[in-house]
Amino acid sequence: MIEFLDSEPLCASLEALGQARRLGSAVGMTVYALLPMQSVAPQARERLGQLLGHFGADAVVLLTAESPVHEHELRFAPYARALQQACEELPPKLFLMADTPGARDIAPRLTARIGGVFLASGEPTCEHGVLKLFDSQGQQVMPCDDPLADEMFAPTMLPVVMTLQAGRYALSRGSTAVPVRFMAPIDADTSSERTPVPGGGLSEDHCEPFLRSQRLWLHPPETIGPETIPPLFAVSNERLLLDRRSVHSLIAIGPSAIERADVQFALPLGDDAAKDLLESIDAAFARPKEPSVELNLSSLLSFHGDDDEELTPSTGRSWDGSDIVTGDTAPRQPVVSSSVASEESVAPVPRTEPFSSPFERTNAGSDEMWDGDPTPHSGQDAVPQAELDGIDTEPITELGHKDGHSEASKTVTSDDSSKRQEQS
Amino acid sequence: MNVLMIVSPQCQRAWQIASSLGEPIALAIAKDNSVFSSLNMPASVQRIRIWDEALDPSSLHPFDVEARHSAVIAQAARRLGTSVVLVTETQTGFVSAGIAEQLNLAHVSEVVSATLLSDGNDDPQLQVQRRGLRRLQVLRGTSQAVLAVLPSLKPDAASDQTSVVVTEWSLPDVSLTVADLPSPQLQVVAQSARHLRPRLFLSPGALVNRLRSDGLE
Repeated sequence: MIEFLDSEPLCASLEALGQARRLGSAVGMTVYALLPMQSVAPQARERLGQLLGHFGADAVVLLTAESPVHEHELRFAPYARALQQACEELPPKLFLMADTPGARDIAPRLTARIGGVFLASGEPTCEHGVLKLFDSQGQQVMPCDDPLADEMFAPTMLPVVMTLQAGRYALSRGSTAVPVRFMAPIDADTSSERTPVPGGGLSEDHCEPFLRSQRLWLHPPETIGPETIPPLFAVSNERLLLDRRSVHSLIAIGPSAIERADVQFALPLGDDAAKDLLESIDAAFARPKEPSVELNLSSLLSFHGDDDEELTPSTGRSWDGSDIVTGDTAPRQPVVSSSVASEESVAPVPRTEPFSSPFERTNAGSDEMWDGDPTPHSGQDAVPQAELDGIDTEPITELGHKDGHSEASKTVTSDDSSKRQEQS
Repeated sequence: MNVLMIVSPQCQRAWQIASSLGEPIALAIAKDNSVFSSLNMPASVQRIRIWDEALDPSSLHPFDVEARHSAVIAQAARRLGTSVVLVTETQTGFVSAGIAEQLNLAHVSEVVSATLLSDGNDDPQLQVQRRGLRRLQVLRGTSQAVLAVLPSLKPDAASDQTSVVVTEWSLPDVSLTVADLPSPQLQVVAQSARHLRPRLFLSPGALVNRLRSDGLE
């Protein structure tokens, strides 16, 4: 499930999609990117297919909210029926989400709804074509067979819903446009006992500001009371124990930051540079944000009313039918070269331009960081290399080449880092 | 209105919310009564402790433990007739969703605060403040919900609970037997020592870029 913010997918969501791509290719699973969106203009739909196909999806499924009120923060209730419908039509083996506030609302409730298994901050990997799952403690776990499965057939694994921590996985990149479809609930009967009131009984009334200083703690506040709101992002601090219940992304700063296993991001600044950290962070935030995705998706969220003839929810058939029943694992269709494909081409997938990296690789050592990326460009018209070989589904545990790692893990000063930034 | 509050570590925020919403009932699934000492509650507050060996967390995966706890708490809520349940967010994060699913109630996670709004004519409405990625989302609706409350950052304060009365329940008291509890769904294959390393950024600007792409503005 992909989370969008200001018409751009969250980086953490794309990382989860990248890992899904690698697992899908290695194990033989189809990757569906679910997008919770109020509506999407037809002309934007194709670009969504390009974007998420580029990052690893085999198909994009747009989930229609049933709440009449557009909510500004993602949660389960508005998409409950569409999610359930999606899981019924496309029974998932793995349901992955980036660990965000929205995911913490959606993932456990969806697990309970579909009778699956939930692993918060888990790790899905693949070894020798076998899916391996690890929980947040690093234990390898295996779901039991579905007790409701028909004994006449091979037992099926319970669906596993996982949230993945930001920063753990590399992106996947290819050049394939994929189909985009809507998924809306068949049953629109609001008297159903499953959701007595549209939106699950509570709907958004309004939003209040959540300041950056509240969301990111470089230092804990002087006074912490029972009503203090925990931050989403925080620099790890010995004085205050922040665990994953309250904080989504932990950052370590200092010479030994890179050795920390309990944080997602490391900034190995020396003591001198760390003194000016607050000013440096503020200065970085003061700079205008550069778009992280090349595609201009600003029109995605606009509603074009009558223009969108496919907005009406379909009833019972929201897919082209080729893979609903079997849940097949057909690989993505390769992009058809315009010079080769004839008019009678069976797979009229539009040619798309290759994308460069969606996120600025300004961090020094980024080349090493992204070495785990299994889908390098292998030609504009080729099947993404990830589907062929060299699939590495391990989380990022090493930072690339030994040289790069040793260079990166040493303490640096802000001067060093700015020089490297310029070089990169 | 009775409000069922699940006692667990760092649950002061949940306790404050429960107190403001109505008559709190403190419930814990624990082997002994010491769990209540982490919270400074008046002696008049009804305390219930449920225990059975089948709920012992040492023999199950945390997910299976929470699945069982949610089944027990949902039954306890039915017996007590409460339709507002407050749970402090857990490491696994499943127990509140499991309760909500079994009671067929709305579920809100990452709850910061909650109040009851009443204009005297209609049924009181629940207003819940929830931590979102960029905003504090204020939700409003029927006063029936399971709220997963963010843990309090203030350390637990030990209090003397020797003189308070704790009602002890077992599974039959909530109309359950061991066979009714969810069977384990996860088995630990290997206790491997996986050591993940953080993603490296060599300048504050690069880190900020990354945090921005994860929703921090």
